[in-house]
Amino acid sequence: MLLNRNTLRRAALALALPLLVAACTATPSLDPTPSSTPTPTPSVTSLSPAEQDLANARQGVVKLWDVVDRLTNDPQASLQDLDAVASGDALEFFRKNLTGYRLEQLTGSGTSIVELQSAEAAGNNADGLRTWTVTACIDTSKTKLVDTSGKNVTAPPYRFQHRSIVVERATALLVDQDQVLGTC
Amino acid sequence: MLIRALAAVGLTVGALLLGPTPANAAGPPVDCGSDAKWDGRQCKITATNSGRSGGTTLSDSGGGGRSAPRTCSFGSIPMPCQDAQLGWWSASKSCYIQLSDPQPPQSAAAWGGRAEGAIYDCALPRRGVFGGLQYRFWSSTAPAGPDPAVLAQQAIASMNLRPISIGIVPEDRPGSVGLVGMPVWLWAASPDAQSWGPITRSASASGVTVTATAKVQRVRWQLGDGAVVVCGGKGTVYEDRFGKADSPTCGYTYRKQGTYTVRAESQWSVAWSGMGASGTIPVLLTDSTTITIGELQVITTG
Repeated sequence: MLLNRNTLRRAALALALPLLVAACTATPSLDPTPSSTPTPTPSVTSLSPAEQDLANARQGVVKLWDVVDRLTNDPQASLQDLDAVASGDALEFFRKNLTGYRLEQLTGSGTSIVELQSAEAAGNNADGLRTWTVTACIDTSKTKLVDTSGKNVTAPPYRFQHRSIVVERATALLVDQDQVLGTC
Repeated sequence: MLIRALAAVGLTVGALLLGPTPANAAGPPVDCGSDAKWDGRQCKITATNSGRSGGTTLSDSGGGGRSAPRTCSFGSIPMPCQDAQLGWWSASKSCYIQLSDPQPPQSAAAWGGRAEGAIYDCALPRRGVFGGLQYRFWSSTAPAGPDPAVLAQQAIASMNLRPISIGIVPEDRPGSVGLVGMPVWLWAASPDAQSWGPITRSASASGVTVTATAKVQRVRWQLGDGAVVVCGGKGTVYEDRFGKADSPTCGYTYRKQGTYTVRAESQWSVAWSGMGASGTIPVLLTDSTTITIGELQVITTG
């Protein structure tokens, strides 16, 4: 992983994304039929298992940044919450960054935006677990990271492209690796 | 004692011209180090001394295979390597780590279904709203722990090592005067475990132990006139029956009269091992005394 504090911060908070995320993912959506029909009945576009897996992998990335945002903004929140969205190197990385913020008494605010760009199945990893690669642009321009004097320590650029490896574990799809590819 | 004997009436000039003991052609029985040479019975340096001050010095310099106690930090922020409440600092996790006590039940998510290993706390010092327990995690082995070199230093501290008590003739007391050209005997008086070794102590923390054994390797005698004699052993205690003989193990002969401060630097070597690591730590302890060397003059009258 190639994240530093600013990139993490910039990529950190993601609550304001539902629309963007929905626009970028193949999550099942309701498709209202024309109003001329007396009793409208929604038709649901069903996804194949592979498509559903991709959608879940994308959501895994969105959930990760959601949790990272929340933990950055609330220094008293337990970092145990990361366990539900990350594993492996990514879990270690985000844990370390967030403990670093707290050691430096930095508090976040705002939310970052996850712009999903691509997702594809990546086969099984060394442990035989299914994996997917998700690429997203994380926009943290609407976030801050302030020290105890109120000074914002973040600086541009605020948009970084991340490539995440999502792995299927027993309970959920978790982000196992996160790599910054560059600005976006 | 020797000096008393030498000062007695009736000394002959011949007695003042005792020659040195023939050098032993065999190799030195002790390691004299790079700054001394074996003269047949002792390591001897005739160069100017290092000027080390007296008193007790716990030295952490020099020596190979030594592990310096580590220092801990977060970025540019120095962090104590150990926190009494939170455990040991982990640089890889940026928090203090210690075994969770009590251990969560096996049904806890932190175990991840594993049966071996243990659960550890990752915590930060409290600063306002910041700090406290951050998370718990599983690890098959202790991810952070005491520095074995630090434990070794603790073990050394518990030994209460002392420099040797200087044994010397002429003695450091009023009326005791040596003579130019006469042998001065040097030895470690009443050596015991604390002043000569070997002595072994252990230090433990977080369930791990480091054991250290210390013993004196050599004594570096600074005679106060610029000469240095290094002796690998304790020296030989002078007795009156030895008369004006040279010490068979550790001695010196002054060439000028004067009052000299003699320093005896005990050079300890402490070998430690534990936690899969080992090393040696040199310890230097110094004692000093003052002696007076006079010159015998023959006055011819009539």
